[in-house]
This record gives sequence, C-alpha cells and structure tokens, in this order.
Amino acid sequence: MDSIQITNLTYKYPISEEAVLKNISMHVKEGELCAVIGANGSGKTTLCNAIRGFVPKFYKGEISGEVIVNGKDVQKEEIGSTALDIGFVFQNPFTQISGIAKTVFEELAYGLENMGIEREIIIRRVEEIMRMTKIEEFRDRNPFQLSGGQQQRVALAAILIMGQPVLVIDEPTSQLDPQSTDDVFEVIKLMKTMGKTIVLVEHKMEQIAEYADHVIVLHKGEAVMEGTPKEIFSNPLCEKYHIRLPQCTKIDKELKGMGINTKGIPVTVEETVNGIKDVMESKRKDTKKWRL
Amino acid sequence: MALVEVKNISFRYPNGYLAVDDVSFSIEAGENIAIIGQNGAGKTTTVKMLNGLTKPCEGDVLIQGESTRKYTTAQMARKAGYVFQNPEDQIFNATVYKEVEYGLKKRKMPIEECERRVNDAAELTGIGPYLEMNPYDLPLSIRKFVTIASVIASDCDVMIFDEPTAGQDLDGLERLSELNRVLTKRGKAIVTITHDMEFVAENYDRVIVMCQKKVIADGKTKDVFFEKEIMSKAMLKQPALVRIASQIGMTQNTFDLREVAAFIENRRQIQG
Amino acid sequence: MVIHMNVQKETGRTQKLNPLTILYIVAALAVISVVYDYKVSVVCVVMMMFIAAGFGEFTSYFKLWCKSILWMCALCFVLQIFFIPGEDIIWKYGVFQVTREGFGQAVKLCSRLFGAGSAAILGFRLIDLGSLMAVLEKRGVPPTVTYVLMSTANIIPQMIKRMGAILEAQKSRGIEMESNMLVRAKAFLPSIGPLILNAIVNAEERAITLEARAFSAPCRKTSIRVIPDMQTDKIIRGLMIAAVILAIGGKIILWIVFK
Repeated sequence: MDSIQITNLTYKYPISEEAVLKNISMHVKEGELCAVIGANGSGKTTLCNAIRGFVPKFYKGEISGEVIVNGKDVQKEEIGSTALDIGFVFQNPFTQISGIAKTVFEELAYGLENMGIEREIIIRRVEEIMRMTKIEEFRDRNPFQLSGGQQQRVALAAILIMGQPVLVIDEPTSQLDPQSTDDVFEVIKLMKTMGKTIVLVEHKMEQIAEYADHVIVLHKGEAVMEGTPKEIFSNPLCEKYHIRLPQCTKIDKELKGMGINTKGIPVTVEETVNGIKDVMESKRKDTKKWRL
Repeated sequence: MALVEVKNISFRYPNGYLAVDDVSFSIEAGENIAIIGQNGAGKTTTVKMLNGLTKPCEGDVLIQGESTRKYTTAQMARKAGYVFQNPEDQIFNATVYKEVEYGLKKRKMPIEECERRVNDAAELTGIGPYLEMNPYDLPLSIRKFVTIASVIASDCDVMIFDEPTAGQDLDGLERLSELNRVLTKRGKAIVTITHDMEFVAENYDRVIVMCQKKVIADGKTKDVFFEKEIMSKAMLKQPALVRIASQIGMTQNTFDLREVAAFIENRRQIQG
Repeated sequence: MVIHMNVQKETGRTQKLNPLTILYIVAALAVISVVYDYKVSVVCVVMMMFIAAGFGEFTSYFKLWCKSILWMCALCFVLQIFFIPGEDIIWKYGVFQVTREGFGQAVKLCSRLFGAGSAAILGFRLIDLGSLMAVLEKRGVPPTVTYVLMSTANIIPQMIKRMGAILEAQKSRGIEMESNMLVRAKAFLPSIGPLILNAIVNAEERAITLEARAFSAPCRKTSIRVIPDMQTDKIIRGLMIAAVILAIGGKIILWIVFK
C-alpha cells in the first residue's frame, strides 16, 4: 500500500520567481525508506516541507497538486494535527532542541506531553526509546550541552517516541562527523525495522546505497529519476544530474573502463572486493584487449 | 624557513580542560594540508592558534618567522584568514558584494583594487551570480562560499577552512578542489579541516591526523590512509579505494586506479 | 522506583513547597519591604536568608546576593547621596557634599531596592521555572506564554555562548576588538548583526521544531512533572495574601493618621 502519494505537485515560494517544485509525482510504499537526492537547490528540502504541510501553511506561496499521506490530504489538515501523523527531523541539531526541557529525559517527554498522553505511559515510553536509541547516558544532561551529533540523536529519538507512522528526515548528518553519522544511521535503521515509512534527504551516497529501498533524484525542482539505489547509481544519467556516486560504484566503473570486467554494479566495499576477486580467479581471455 | 611553524603548542581552557596537547608541525608556502580526526580531537582549537585567535598556553606559532603573540587577532587577519565552520557567525552585510568587500574596505584599499579582488574571489568561489543578493537569502552551502570568498579577497598567505565540505553537493566539492588548486598555485598555504575522507584522498598530498588532543600522524595522505591502525585509533574510516586495495591483497600504497587495475591483471596471469 | 525518583530529582530542590507558594512568599516579602522603611526591609531580608537556609540553599543564595544586590545597593546609595541636592549639609569634601535630604532619599530608595532585589533573586534561586510553568499552565495560563518564558530563560545562555563565537569570527576577519573602548564600540555593530539575524533564523526553525513536537495539536496537554499542592501550601498562600493586605492596609491607616 502507498503511504505517501504525491500527484502533480508544483510549488512556488512567495519571493521566488520560478517554481521550486515542478509537477512532481511520486509514491512511497508503507514501511519503505525513500531517499531523495539531488544537487543543492534542487528542491529536496522544499519537498520535505510539502510532505509535512509546512509548505504552504508555514511558508505561504502558491501550490497546486496533491499530497496524500496515509489517506489524508496534508494541505487540508490542520498543521497541528499533521504532527500526529508525520514526524519531522531536519538539518540543524541546535534548533531542534525545544528550549523548554532541562534534561534529555524531559526533551523526549515534551512531544508526548503535547499529545496529552498520561504521565505513567510517557515515562515508560521515554525509558524504552532511550534504551532503543542508546541515549540513556544523556538522560540527565541538559540537551544544549550535548555535541551536535548527540543532539541530532536526541532529536530523532524525540520524534520517534511520538509514534507517527511516517517520518520525514531532512539531511540529518550534514553537520556531523563520521562517527556521529554512523550513530544517526543506527537510529534510522531502527526506525526502519520498526516499520516506519521514511523519506530521507541525504548527501552521503554510501549510506543511501546501504539503507534506501527506493531513490528519487530531483533536478531543478523536477523528479528526473526513480528506482532502487542500484538502478539509480548504474544509470549514466547520474553524471548529467551531478549525482555523486558511492565511492565503490565509481571505482568499479573506472576499473571497468580499464578492462577489469566485474559482474554487476557494486555499491558496497564487500561487493566490489568480491567482484574483483571473481575477476582475479577467472581465466584471462581479454588479455590482448587490455594490453592494447 | 617554513611559512608556518607550530612549535609544541598546548592549550588549556581556564577551567582546566586540555584542548590541544603538545602539537608541532610546519607548513610551506604552496602546501595543501588536511587536518582530520573525530569531533573533539582538538582540530579547531589547533587551527585557531594558527591565526592567533587563541594564543597557545605553551609553545609558539610562528608565521613568516614572527610569533602570533606579537599581534592582535585583527592584525593577524592579514596573514592568516580563517573560514569558520558556521557562516552565520561571520556574515552581517546586506549584500554578498559588501560582505566580501568588508575586510578590504576596513584596510582602506582603493576602490578599483577592492573591485578587482572581490570579482576574482567571486569567480573562484562561483558566487558571481549572487553578488547583489542578501546572503541570508542564500542556501547554507553557498553562504559558506561567501565566507570563503571574503578570505580569498583578503589575499593572506595562510588560509584556514573549517569544514568547507559539510553539506556540499558534487558541484560544491568540485569547486572546492578547483579552489585548492588555484590557491596553492598562487603560493598560499591551505589548511582544511574536513570529515570527507574521499575528498581528502583526492585533493590533499599531506594529512595531519589528530586524536585525543594530539597529532598521531603527519605525512603523505597515501601512506597515512593505508595505516589501518592509525585510522582506527583516530576513529576514522579508510576511503573505499584503500579498503578495496588492502582487501584484494595489494601491498603498495596507492590512490591510482591504474595501479589497482594492473595488480588485478597480474594476479590473473599468475593464476591463469 | 527509579523512574519516579528521576522525575522528582528535577523538582527536588523545591519539592518541600509548591513553586506557586514560594512565589507568593517571595512576592509578599518584596511588597512588604517596599511599602515600609529600611528597618522592615532589613527584617525581611534576614527572613529571606532563613528561608534560603531552610531550603538548603543558603550558601549559593548568599554568594549570589553579595555579588548582585549588595553591590547594586552600595553603588546606588553612593550615587544618590552625592547627587540629590538639599539644604542641610552634613558632610563635605571638595566638590562632594552630602545633605540630610539626599541621605534620607538614598536610604529610602536603597531599602526598596534591597528588599525587592533580594526577594527576586531568592525566587530565582528557589523556584524551578519548569515546575512553576507547569503549575501556571494547569491554572489556565496559555502554553504559548509559558513557552516564551521558559525558552527565553533557557536560550539566553546559548545566545551568550553564540556571541562569543561571533566575536571570534569578527576578530579573525580583521575587526579590532583588543584595544580601547572606542575601537570596541565600533566593533559592536558587526557583531550584533549576526546575533540578531541568527536569532531570527533560529526562531523560525524552532517554530518548526515545536510544530513537529505537536505543540499545536488539537488536544489537552499533560505534564510529567508531579507538583504536589498540600494543605500547607494553601495555608501559607492564604497567610501571604493576608499579610500583604494587612501591610498595605496598615500603611494606609498610618498615612491617614499621621497626615
């Protein structure tokens, strides 16, 4: 079943001259992780805001087309009630700290308090989510005193706890170091195993290759490519749309150009190594070609 | 004499927290260096001592033979430019042009010279089309290039870039590597902090690895990246090419795919 | 239970009394010391010291009090006695002279500052803002109001930290700040600009954060803070209201009688 259905979505910010999203149609199945990639300025963040309903309710501007999330038309819903259906996490770890809580424990509880959940249930849920996302060690720390990576994990946990079936996550790791990036992806992996439908904007192609079920490429506001990570990264159009390939895919592609004919298109180190080992163990038929 | 000499510097905050512990290295004009390491390893505090923003508690930093202690940070700005991690901390002018021009006007440079330098910096950083726009209307990745342009315009000998790769797309990364090439050719010393190991492998000949407030490796990027122990001690990931090369049994350190291809072919011949 | 203790720990400092009760006490003491003269103010401040001690906060309160109120009062007193003109000179040195009128005025003003200021920082020390807001919200104060109060208190220290980063950034682009006052004053604008712009950008993003956390969800909010409101609290609050009415009433009577 489709969890998110977008049909012919076009949107223009009040001050922009050109539409930022142009006639976008896409579907995300329930429980699927859909990665949105593309150059800066291609409309990825705006698309996230449109799915969550912040566009046009928060940012105004002109919109046409439809965004249906779990059967509800996001544009017609109240901005407050959409919060119960769609979770939203974005780039800046600092501004995602509510500013109202003195401890991480309270920070996680905040969303549930706003939802009117009973105290005992909140406390149990906070405990549970802290354990699952491995942030128990921060429980009594002031969220503002945490590092960016830790804050981002708290932000993810604070949304995860609210239990919405659909999560929109916009460049969660662009301000983080490699270790924190891995930690954040651990949480995203957890969200996936919990069956959440996830829309993720991310620049790190290695992670996309590993975690995404489905990739959409935006280019100047249009959805220009769509498919599994493998399909996308093996498509020569990537170059045209300035998509950075996962390192392994790029290496394999260049090796192929030098006559090392590995099978298939790898997206991880393991796959690449296996592909090369297969070649090394195979009989040499194309020697001459290579020598030339 | 090296352009920058860092001699046994340490830095301890007034509250007793040790942020940099006995770090030494030197940088020649025209050299291009990446400083890598986990957050909290001491990278930012170290580079802040290069431009005199922070004065070392022990040891000394010499730029062109002169100690940073002799100058205020503002005076140092002419020798060593620093692009902050967060462009929001720097930008305050109403247009991109004024922002880039600001430091030059402060120095009372003639208008024609200002214009020449701003245009040169704008071309290198690709912000030409945005010169008349308000920097706050631009996306973060371009705002970062605005702050880079301000430093390029000031034409100092040492340029320090703190995480310029964060949030950049392929175009942004390509622009950064082009920038590095042009600036080093002009004889500038470039020091970059980054978490993008692939970018380091492709663009920097020399790398300094920091871990727990100390420098644990300083050398050719190739050699350092193939040292599995150093990389894992610093909690850094080896780039994919390095992992692939080691896992297929290559013993020489190389970033050159042609060598990898030759190695594979060789193996085949032996087995075939 | 562990969980229970943890939530309590937040409010532990003041769990003996409801934060609203403490607010009443502090406010009553402030009003009384403002209405009457310096003798009453001194008595009130001594009482505040005892209250602080009762909460086990004497040392921290006293330190803060010395650093803020004592200094402020001393400075205010000195300014007042020298600059309020009068006829009856009681002390003179060069151009400086102290008059009886000036002295009287200074004592009056400083005693008010002394009483009200001490009360304010006592409240700051003893009342856990989060708990107070939870109580107020329960009593019908809109969440938007309590949010603004709470987040302002929490975000100001972050803004100060940010200011430090901005000053560094401006220094390293060549704006002189390590020199005399005039030079520093000139550097003020380029530093305050980013701070304000930052604050605006952050406010917008934080509004989104709140929306994401269901701030405007169409339902009643709950709170994980358990703030007991005992019989004692109610009695104390009643007494405080009575004390304030009596104090003001007494003052009016005194005024009528002696006029």
